[in-house]
Amino acid sequence: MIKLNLTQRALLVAGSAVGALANPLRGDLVATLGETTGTAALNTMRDKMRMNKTGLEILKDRPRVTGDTMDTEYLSSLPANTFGHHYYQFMSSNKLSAQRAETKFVEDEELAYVMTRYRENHDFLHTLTGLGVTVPEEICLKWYEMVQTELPMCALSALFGPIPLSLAEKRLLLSEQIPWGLACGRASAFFMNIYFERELETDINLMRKRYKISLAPRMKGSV
Amino acid sequence: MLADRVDSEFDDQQDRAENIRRISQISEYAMPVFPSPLDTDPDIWGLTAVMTDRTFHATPSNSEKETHFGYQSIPESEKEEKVKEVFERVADTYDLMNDAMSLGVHRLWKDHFVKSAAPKPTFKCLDVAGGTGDIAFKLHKYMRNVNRDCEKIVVCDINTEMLRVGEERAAQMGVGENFTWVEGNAEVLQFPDNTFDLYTIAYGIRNCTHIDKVLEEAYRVLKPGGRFMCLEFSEVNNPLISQVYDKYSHDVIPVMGQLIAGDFESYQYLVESIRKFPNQETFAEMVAAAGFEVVEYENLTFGVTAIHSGYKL
Repeated sequence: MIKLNLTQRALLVAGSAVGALANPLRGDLVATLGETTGTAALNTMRDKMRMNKTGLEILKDRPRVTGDTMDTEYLSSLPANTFGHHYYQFMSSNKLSAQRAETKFVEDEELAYVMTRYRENHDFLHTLTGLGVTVPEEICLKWYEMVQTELPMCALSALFGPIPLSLAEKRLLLSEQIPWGLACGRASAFFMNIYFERELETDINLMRKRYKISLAPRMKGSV
Repeated sequence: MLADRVDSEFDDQQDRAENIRRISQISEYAMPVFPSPLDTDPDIWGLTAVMTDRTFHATPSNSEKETHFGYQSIPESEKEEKVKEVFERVADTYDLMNDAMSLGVHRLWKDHFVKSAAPKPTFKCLDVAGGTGDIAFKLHKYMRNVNRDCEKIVVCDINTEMLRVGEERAAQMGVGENFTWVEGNAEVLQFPDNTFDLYTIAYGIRNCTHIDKVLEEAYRVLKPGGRFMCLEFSEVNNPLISQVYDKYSHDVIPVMGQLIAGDFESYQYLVESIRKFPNQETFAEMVAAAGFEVVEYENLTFGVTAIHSGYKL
């Protein structure tokens, strides 16, 4: 954890914002921007977690999702209808690693954990919403996350992310994906309060129903 | 036991006096320019520990000597490892970062350094802590311009990652056969006495745990008549410029490190280690204390960097 003074923080926000816009593939810049601008939203998120029984448990246990905590052998052995199996399918078919950037610039250690947890929930959300890893789908998920978390970084990605997309993709975003993100974000349970690790053996459709998460509209080119 | 260890060794006494003299010079400098938790700790250099250790041999063995790692005080044995870690992390983006941090000026400093060294083609040159080859390439270019048939340059670095970067770059430039890359510690060089005509160390000595040992080793491996040259960050004397420079290095450089190299801490360490390094006068005295003669220094860019030089006569 790194303590920043005001100048350093301002420069880091400005620099990572410019850098992330210039090169959105630099995940580390996006992460840095998220951390340096997220304090207010992280506070709200923590409060929401504290007011929820499961959320409180998560804050107490501080479960982590890393390559080590997720047993691929166990996940792949789960029945095809389970959340765990879908998660395994999503991760392996996209060749993703569960490892996420460490939180470095959030000073309060509980808020730092909330940030980490938010990041580590991202792949679970992909699994539940059925969204893949193409740029339009990631943006779609960002709209959902923005409504749920109010993190400025999500808003930035949600707003600026679509710029390089084709006209057809933008049209699809505007007509279907963004409305889904907004609606589902408002309707569904606060995802930070889902103890995903305990739901690995739950039927995925049951989970969607319980937490009111609807499948996102099918993307062009996605399966 | 305490008494006879101290009393019986006259040499030890002399060393001690020398040490205390040095400490009194250094400690004035050693206060960090920026507020840090260590401000309250007068022993930033870990030198009190050195003193006590030398004066009272009966101190319990678990009170290991401490040294500085940036503004942190850490046990001496850990510094080498920590510095190594830092350079492993930054090896690949090292040159890009140098350009960004110094706004390209480090190239001018290095050019000037090599021009001042003016190596003859027949010189046996050793570049210590020269992993990425920056100085070695410039030395080679200089020597080759005088005579295409020039001596091989030996590059020594404690960090294999940095050496790898240098070796790759040499191969890319098609000059690989002109260099020998050696992994080694500047404090205990593996070369025989009286081997080299020129010893260079650029932005490396700051990271060594025992600067005096590095200087002694430099003296040992140089031939009589050989020259020691060191390029290192130093102290800005102009108060106005030093304020701007301090603000810049403290607030901007670590942020650049994060943005360009994804690494805040390593560059924070860099800035802190610059502040901890002895200033021009103090370092010149250390060079002289190692036995070098005609010791002099030249400030570059208001003393942001300085070239130190001395001859083994």
